[in-house]
Amino acid sequence: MSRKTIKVDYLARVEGEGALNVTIRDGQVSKAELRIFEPPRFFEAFLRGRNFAEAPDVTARICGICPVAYQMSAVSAMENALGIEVEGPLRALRRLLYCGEWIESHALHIYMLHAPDFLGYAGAVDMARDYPDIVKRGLSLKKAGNAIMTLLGGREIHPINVRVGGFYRAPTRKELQPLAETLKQAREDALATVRWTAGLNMPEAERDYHLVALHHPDEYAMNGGRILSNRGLDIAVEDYNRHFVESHVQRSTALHSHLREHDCYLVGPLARYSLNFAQLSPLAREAAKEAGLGITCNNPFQSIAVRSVEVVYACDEALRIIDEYREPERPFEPAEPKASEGFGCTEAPRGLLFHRYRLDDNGDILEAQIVPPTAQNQPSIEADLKELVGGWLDLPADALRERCEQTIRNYDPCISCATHFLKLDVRHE
Amino acid sequence: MSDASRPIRVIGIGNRDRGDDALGPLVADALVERLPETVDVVEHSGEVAGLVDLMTGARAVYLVDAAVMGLEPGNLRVFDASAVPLPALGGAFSSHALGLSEAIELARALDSLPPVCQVFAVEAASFGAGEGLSPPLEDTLPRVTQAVMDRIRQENEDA
Repeated sequence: MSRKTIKVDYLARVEGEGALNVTIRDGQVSKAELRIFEPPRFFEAFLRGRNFAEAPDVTARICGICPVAYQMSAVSAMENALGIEVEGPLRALRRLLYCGEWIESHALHIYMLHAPDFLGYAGAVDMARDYPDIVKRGLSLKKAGNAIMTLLGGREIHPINVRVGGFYRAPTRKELQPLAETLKQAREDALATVRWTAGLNMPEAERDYHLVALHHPDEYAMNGGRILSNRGLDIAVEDYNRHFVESHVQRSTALHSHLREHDCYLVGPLARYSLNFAQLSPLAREAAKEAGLGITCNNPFQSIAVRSVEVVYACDEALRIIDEYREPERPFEPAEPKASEGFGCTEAPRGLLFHRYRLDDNGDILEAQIVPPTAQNQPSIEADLKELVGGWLDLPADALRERCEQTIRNYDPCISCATHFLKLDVRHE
Repeated sequence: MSDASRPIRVIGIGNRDRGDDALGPLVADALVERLPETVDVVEHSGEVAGLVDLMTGARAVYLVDAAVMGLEPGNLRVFDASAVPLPALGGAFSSHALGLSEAIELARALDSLPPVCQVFAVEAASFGAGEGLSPPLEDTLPRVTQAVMDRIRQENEDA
């Protein structure tokens, strides 16, 4: 029996830390397990007893990279519980804020975390020495996303302007105008990013994913819609727990998510793109086509190009919203507390983010459930490695280890959000 | 831009809601009151792209951050990162994928690092959510603030 071990103690360039064990026996991957050992953050418990109005600010602190996603799912669930509809300019402003986070988060991952894998660098610093202009373009794109977050969120990280029912303060049309100039340049940078990522050396990999994303008939879903899959799932957000189940596995302090009938599934850019291609803007669709992407994508490595297409879309959509923006009569819809239960689901940059809250008469939280995208993708990351590593066994040990890391980074895993930290151990037996 | 018109910038790095990680922002609070307006004092999360942006165009940067270096909590180390990278400290400055060291090296690679780049790293005891500063860091806060002020005055006649 041939046996070989490759060990990496620290997986860099993912948000947070943890460990991966891959065991290869006689040329076949017998096991691929993510071990997670950052202590859980107990945010769900921390929320109990807090008032419903505090949820957006408390949950925004779960992650420094995607605070808006946490706020959006939290307010969406609370509004569902309290029977409020947020429509018109307030809904558009939330979408604009989310565009900012997508641009910022995707630009960070594409340029700083993922691209070095494709170009053979240990990290963004080494890459910047050889490609300073490309890295500067990435930083400038990210800054455009930050500009939206700062204006609408009140500040760059951990925005504070979002509340149940809308915003504490809505911007004037005039205040939004300078953003448009920034975003026009960002949209050009984003188009250049699509062309650039399309030219990267892409490992061959086709996976038969069960793709799950929000779907909205009239827009590329961010803040709401039904939960759809490429295998016939079509459910309301309220029915999430009837179809998805979380289970504890010993190696991870994060719960693993599974579909009751279909086991593991994929959320995030590939799922959104493949299920909602028709809802992208014409410019984003055209950019995808020029980059050689089809209307669906099953190669996880191509997620870098798909993220780039989503950045084009986010810039385009942000510009549309700013152009059509009419100042709302009031910055928020008032909410009366009542004993209730509410469900919210939005598309975080990394994929579906589900929140559920149960409230008492005073609007205090009795129960909170938060299912982050990285927890949902954890079984899929393991399945990718199990299926793909076998085809790479002729690579030298270092290259194989790097390919495994790259495979994990395809997911832009936010281990912090999923309540953990990560390490990598590839074992050949 | 002439050198004198480029800002001197103090960056207090950290998260006010994560225990000793609040040190950087709290030092920044104390310095705003005590330094002249010619010195730009800002608080920052430590997110890499934003840090690179803040360093770009400054004539001098002074970065204050809570760190894990294997020392006694509250101990201050000052590193001159203008010419050489921060030493490997046996721990990470940040729990996120890219930290302060990467931000400095990224700025250097992009030719954006100011000629003066000093890092004030204070050994932290805890980064727990929602906690305040631990007693050793509470004690050391005035000393760190003074050390940053002294260094800025020593190196900049107009500060």
